[in-house]
Amino acid sequence: MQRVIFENDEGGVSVLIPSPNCKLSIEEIAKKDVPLGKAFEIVDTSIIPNDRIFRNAWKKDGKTVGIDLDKAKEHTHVLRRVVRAKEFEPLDEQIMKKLPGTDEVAVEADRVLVRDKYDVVQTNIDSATDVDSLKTIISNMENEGINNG
Amino acid sequence: MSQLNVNTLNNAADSGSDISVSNLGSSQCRAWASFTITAGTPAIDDEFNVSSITDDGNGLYTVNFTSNMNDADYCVVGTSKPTSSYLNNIMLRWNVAQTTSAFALFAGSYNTIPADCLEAHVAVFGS
Repeated sequence: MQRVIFENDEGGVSVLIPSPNCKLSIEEIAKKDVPLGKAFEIVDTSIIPNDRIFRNAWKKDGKTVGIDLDKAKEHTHVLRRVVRAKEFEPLDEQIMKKLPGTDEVAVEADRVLVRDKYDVVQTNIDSATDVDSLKTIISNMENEGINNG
Repeated sequence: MSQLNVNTLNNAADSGSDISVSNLGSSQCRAWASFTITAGTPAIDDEFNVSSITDDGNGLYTVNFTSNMNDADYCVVGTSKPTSSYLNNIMLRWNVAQTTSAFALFAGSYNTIPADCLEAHVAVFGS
């Protein structure tokens, strides 16, 4: 199977998937559907990364698609902020509502633990030297039961 | 080949509900597509009048018509199958205008970060 790749306006890579029912050739579809003025390549599906964890960090490099490490780090930081916010949420709520019986000192101590934990994650993301290390960091966050949704 | 030349269509009992032939065109679905966002790139499961889908990033897709619409004032309806952790409803991208040849979709999620849905289903009405 084949795909058409081109660099999009955000500097990432767009991947055009031709309809299997379309009677046009992939060249005709590419000429028609790739935005005017964009250089494109027709490539085999096998050169496309087989997971979408860092989809927004994909970059076109000639006839291949690679992953930009800096953008992958940005994406991992976004996930870190989201999961950190989710962990802060119930603690912040206890502080804000000032429910009778709330031990504010203990809650604040828990907030410090969360902050410290994600400070370590932040450092690990910044010092990662490859995409696989970032995948491990994401996997560890998910394994701790902190969902990013 | 046979041809019918009529102005209106009616039911067998002639009990009303006329349909003007001139309205038939705009009442038909002009294009539709179902696609699945799997590992790697999306896969088109089935379509009508869609030549391709462009994967522009997480939660960002463009649907390209085989035969262009007459104008860009068409109606797009759609639904999505969300992932277990994201409430990613599918909608038109706010910063990309519909054209006669394509429209762009956004699968939204927590804090409006675009995120892939599992499946997207869209249909187009208009002229």
